[in-house]
Amino acid sequence: MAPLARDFVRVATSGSVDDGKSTLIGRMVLEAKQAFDDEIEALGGPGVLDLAQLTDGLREESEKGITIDVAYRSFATRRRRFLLADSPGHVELTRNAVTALSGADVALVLVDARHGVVEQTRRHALLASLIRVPHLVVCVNKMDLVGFSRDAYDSVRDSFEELSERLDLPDVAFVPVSALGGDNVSSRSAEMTWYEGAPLLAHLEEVHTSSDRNLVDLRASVERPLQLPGDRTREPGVVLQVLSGVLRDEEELVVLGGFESSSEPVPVTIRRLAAPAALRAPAKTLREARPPGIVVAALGGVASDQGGFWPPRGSMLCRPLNHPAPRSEIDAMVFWMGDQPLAEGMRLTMRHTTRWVGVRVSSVHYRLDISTLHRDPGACALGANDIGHVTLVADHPLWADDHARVRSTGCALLVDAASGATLGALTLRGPTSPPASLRGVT
Amino acid sequence: MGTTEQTTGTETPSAPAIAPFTDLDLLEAEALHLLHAVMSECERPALLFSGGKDSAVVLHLVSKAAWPGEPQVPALHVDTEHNFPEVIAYRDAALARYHVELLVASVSEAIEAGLVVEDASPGASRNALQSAVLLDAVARYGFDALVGGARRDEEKARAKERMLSVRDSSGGWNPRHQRPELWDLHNPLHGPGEHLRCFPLSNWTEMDVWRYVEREGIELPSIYFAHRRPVVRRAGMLVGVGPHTPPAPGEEVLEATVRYRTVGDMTCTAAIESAASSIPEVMAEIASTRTSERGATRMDDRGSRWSMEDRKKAGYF
Repeated sequence: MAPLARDFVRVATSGSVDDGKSTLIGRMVLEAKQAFDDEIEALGGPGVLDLAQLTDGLREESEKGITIDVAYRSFATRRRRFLLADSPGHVELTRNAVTALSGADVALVLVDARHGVVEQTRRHALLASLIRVPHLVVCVNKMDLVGFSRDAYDSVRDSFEELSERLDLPDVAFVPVSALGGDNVSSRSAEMTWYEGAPLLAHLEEVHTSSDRNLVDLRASVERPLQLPGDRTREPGVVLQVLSGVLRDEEELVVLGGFESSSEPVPVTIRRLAAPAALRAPAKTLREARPPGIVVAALGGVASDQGGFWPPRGSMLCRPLNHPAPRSEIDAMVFWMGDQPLAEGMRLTMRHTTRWVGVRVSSVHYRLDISTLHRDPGACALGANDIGHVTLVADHPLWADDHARVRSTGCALLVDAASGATLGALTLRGPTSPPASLRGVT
Repeated sequence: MGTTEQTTGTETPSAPAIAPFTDLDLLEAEALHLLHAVMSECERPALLFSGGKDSAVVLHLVSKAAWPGEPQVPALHVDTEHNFPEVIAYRDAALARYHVELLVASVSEAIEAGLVVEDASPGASRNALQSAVLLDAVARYGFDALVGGARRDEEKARAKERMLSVRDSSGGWNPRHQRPELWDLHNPLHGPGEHLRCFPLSNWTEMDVWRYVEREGIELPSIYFAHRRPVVRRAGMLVGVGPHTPPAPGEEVLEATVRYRTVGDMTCTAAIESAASSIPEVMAEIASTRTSERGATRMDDRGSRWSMEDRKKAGYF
């Protein structure tokens, strides 16, 4: 029977060509008993299954024995619900790996025990660090092909630890596995008694994710304005998504971007926080809401000289003394995915929360070599799958946080307005909310 | 949704202040966030509505996203005229209840107009004809976004699908050139002639759909629950006998207690033997089954391993 309240852990898997990543995913799904008989039958029947076929769902992938595009697969153990995002190791590396890693709680990096830490491992570790995935698990795979040797495992572990010293990886764990044989996947391997840690699935069940969420800095984004039913006071209504922090009823907040013409914060009071209902039923009253909750609220306390105040989609509610200062100059790390290079002077449109803002690339500071971590300050353009540090100038002020502090307001997309193509991912840097002086607040 | 209900006077002060934050709440928030993007930023979105359980859940979510108003999106049904009568009755009742306008794109009319050519062999499915009829409707009504109930866990080609997926001017899906989807930042922009497919249930499983149906009290067509029906056994499946699905020569018609796990055309959807007559019984059955949802019931997926990928590339939903 369906369990009631399970947490939802997003896991991004990445590896190099042929290190057995799809096989490991197939093994995890199989051992969690989440593959159906007809799916297992399609893998080639009993005996040695081609586990990679559980996820390599495209014709070209199966024919070439490779993974081309990010695939998603849900599975659950008794304790936890997992959503795996599996990205290919080699094709369009930055594009696919960043797609899988964005929003992930855990990055699972595969290393072939025979080859140790290779360039691809370094790239994946760097990407996980730049995207700030809170947990990383190094799976040293194909242990069966090195005689389950502890030395081989220790050598991978040592070289990864040396690499991670230069990166921002708060939690790294190592598990020696054989995905093909199932060693240390769901149960302890009899071949590797020297390994004292937990098998992979047990480790994933235990990873402490509840502290990863930011419940301090309130950021609630307006999904859409609405007309509240039976509203005599004509208070503006909004549908909000809580991006971080805790939103409470009767709280005094400010709206950023409430007026098109001004970036001044507008003080409001949250009244009648509620959960939207279907079939025009009355909304259920709430005392508070946490991320990523979607709620409706009336905004009270708007000064009478601010008639016509109706916060648009993309405006944001914060606490009066804890909000990002509106700014037009944005410093960011960019993960470029466009075929045309990103060059200084280029005009693009930026997706930040639910807002679109036109931006101009004012300068490219350096290109980061993702294999050597070397910064190339001579670069004034970035090619497809390059990573670099840029400054953008926006047409209207943004209320952006540093990505390290608030993940959801510290990230953005770069989009070509004409074609709609998503060309880049941004993690934003920069001054984090010096309390702004508030006009009209006493 | 990570929310706390207002405490009442009868609660003790020691009652937990925070309601449990379930995986279902997360899935619902993810779906509403996507629906707001499409309903706020697309010019003419429509809901693809088959009357199946997934589209029933999407209809419910669209209604929540429109609170306190009525959904300003029409429902489009690509009608092969090979439907289960119970599902058509449900379709009309459900859309009336949610105050959603029904638009029907008729496969029969498309055949008469020469838009598509029907396979005239007995019991042939019109499934493959739906893509062309759908694309014709997109052009006729000027839809720029179609919201559907497809889930990644249904099929391997769908596991590669984005939540917001661009279709080119011929409706085709190009799995090699999909837009990256990053964090929960949705990009509903698209070029001229292109349209979007929007899948709010991408990360839901069959069990999630039933849990949500139970939690929200969503009504479903009666054929999802155990009933008596004349059937034939065909290729290991139980196929309901009806006007469009006559028994083949030599097939024996028997009456069985069955239910449908998925709902498509009568010609390509098989029943399963089941005595599950309530939502908890259905959930218990799914929890113990060893066969995937489409594997058990979809004759149209059995063409080849790649039949879904090929149909998606041609504009299928």
